[in-house]
Amino acid sequence: MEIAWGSVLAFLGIAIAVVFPGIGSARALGRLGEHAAGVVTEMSDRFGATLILQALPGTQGIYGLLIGFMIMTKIGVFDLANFVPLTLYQGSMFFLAAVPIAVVGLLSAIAQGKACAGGMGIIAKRPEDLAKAITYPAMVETYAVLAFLASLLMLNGIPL
Amino acid sequence: MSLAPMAKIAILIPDNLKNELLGLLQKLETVEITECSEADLSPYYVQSSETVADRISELEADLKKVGGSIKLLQEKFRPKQGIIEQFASLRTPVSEELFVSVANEPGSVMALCDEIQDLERRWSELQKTAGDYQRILDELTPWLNFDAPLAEVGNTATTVSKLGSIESRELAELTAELATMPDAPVHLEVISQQGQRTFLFCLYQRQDQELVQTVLSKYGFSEAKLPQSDADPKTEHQRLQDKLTQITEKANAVHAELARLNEAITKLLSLNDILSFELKKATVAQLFGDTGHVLLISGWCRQVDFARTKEAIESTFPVAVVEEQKPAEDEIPPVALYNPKLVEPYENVTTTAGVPVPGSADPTPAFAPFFFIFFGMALGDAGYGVLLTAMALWLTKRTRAVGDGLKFLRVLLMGGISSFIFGVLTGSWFGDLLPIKTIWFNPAEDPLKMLIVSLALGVVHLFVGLGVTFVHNLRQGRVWDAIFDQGLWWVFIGGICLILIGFSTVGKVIAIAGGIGLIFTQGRHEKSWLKKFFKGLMSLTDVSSWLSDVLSYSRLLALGLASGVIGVVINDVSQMVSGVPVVGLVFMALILGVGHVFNLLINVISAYVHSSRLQYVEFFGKCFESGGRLFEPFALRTKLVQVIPDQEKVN
Repeated sequence: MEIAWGSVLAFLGIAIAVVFPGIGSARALGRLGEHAAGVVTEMSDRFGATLILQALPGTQGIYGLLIGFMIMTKIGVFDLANFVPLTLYQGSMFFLAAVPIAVVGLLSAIAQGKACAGGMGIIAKRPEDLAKAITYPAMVETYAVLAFLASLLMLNGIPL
Repeated sequence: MSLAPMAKIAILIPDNLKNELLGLLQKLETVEITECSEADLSPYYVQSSETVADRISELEADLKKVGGSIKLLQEKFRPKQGIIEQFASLRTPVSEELFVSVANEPGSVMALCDEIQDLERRWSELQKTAGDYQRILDELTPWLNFDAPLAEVGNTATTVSKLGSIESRELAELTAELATMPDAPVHLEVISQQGQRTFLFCLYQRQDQELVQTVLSKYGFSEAKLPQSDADPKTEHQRLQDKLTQITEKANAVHAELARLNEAITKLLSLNDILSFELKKATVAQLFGDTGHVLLISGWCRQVDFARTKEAIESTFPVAVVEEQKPAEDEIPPVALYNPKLVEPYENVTTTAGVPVPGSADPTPAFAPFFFIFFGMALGDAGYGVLLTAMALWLTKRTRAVGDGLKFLRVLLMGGISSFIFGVLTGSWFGDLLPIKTIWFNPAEDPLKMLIVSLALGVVHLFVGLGVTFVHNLRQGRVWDAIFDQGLWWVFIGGICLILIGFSTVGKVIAIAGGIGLIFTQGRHEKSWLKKFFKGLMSLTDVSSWLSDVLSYSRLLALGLASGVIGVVINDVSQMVSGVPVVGLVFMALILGVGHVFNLLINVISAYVHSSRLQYVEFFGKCFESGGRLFEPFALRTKLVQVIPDQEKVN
């Protein structure tokens, strides 16, 4: 059987879209979990606030999965009966569409995690300032959102 | 759009009416009391007496005691915590009757505190003793089979006897080695074996002491330290066990007594709030100016409340005098936000970023409609909108929220409504779960159209931001500033927008006119002509910041799509498992339920945060000047308990 390199590239695109932002989110959430546990050891009533703060860099992983899922839908992974092998040209476009969220997702999750870690300090000292603690990490989130948007629009424009 | 005007208020009242006046002010909640300086009353000013300071420290000590008792009880009898309590501490509801009765007789509740602390001390002492007994009992357990009085173990004139233990695996070798020493006979008796250790009784002649001991220690023999007693271990064990039971019973009784007192914890919580009221009153009273006979109370009051406050005070206390004073030049009034009911909840969003400086514009009413729309676009699902609205309503009722908490829930409530409207327009009901017809268009199918909608909304939002400053400048009489700094930007950016949407000829003319206007006006504060020109020219580089500001609104598309697409993914996955025989439908329901709730929560956070951010960074950049101090009228608010009026039932 001849290998449809286009489809292979598209699958590679799915893989990087899911893997890299996932790694970034997991790393950030793990670190933040440690910080949050530290705060809660002293002040158990801060659980809710620290949980929200910990969850913030989780969105990159979700954006990555979404792009992966949308590629899957578009190339017909769920509908194998009608699965059409892609040309190399189409495949590389799918791959490239995954690049923004893969790269920016990974790096912005880690960066956002650092901003959240700073926010944990706010929660520990001034729990009433939760909104402020959330706003700084939200600034970082912007770039994940933009990358997601770029990936999405690129994906949308691929002719099949 | 502007802040509530403030009036400086001065109240003169005889000394003996101090508490009554405080009571009235607390009910009115319209006056923020400021410190009255010596200069205000000179030369009649007298230093406030020490009794006030004494009263304050007395109250602080009482508060500490009550707080300590509450903490003690709550640590021992942890109150049940639901999901909500994990996220916010709720106030305990108490009936008005109970609250008033505690307020009238704080002494009996204070006595409870003494009792609680006393009981706690006894309880921990008993616990400690019980622990000691338990340790001795544990040490005795291996020796229960030893049938001689413990006191008889030891040395006689010719013999030595010992109780001790070794590792069980050493036993065989020890016995063997002892057997090789016929000159030094040793009687070795195994009393019991527990775990890895064997417990031994050994008896040998005094003359062989050194030799035997060397052998014993070689095998790790460790002597047992047992209590001296005339009884054998079994009897002694029984005796101690009985004692321990007695102590435990006593401790249990103390614990039960504490549990009984814990039922009165609402009284303690009430007392804590009552004492903090008293403390606050006493602290505020320190701010009053005093002549020895008359008190001067100065403070701030919203202009709209002034007449009402004056009327209330003067009718309650005919001797009192209430006057409006002209603030001194260097006095900066506090800032009160004053908005219609629908806009009021969004004040939270403003104050999170900061309090506007006195005399500037309050941006809240200008951005509130945009916050509403943005939230709806970012969540963007009719089903989620309904859920969020219901959740916000339920939480409002359940937590009996007041103040900022209530405002926040109101923002969520309106966000839910907005999301519902937007979801209906775009045909999104829990993703694609409910096949209800799209009224407008589906952003997932035509993201470019949605992108344009988002960016266009952004431009309008920013223009309104300029409008806030424009109006403010006009009101302050700075007509030219309004025209040059805001009006020309409208013209310039408006022209560029016209070009972008296809009216290039008209747009070009307008944009160039605006641009030239900016070049000639933005440098008007500079002195030299050259600087004027360059500053004007440089101002055009702000276009880049406009570009990034406008592009920032693309997040509305992305967030809306993200929540929609995740919803679709959840539905797809649940579809896949629905085919599994028997459990398929259960799994499907589970995935749908958990998935959509999770998606809702994540996206509510995103929608709130990003809608706020668009105000803070983009909108406030055009119109907000923070640095004021929020107006805090004197009021007494309970922190730990929530007083329920007698008409309602405490549930």
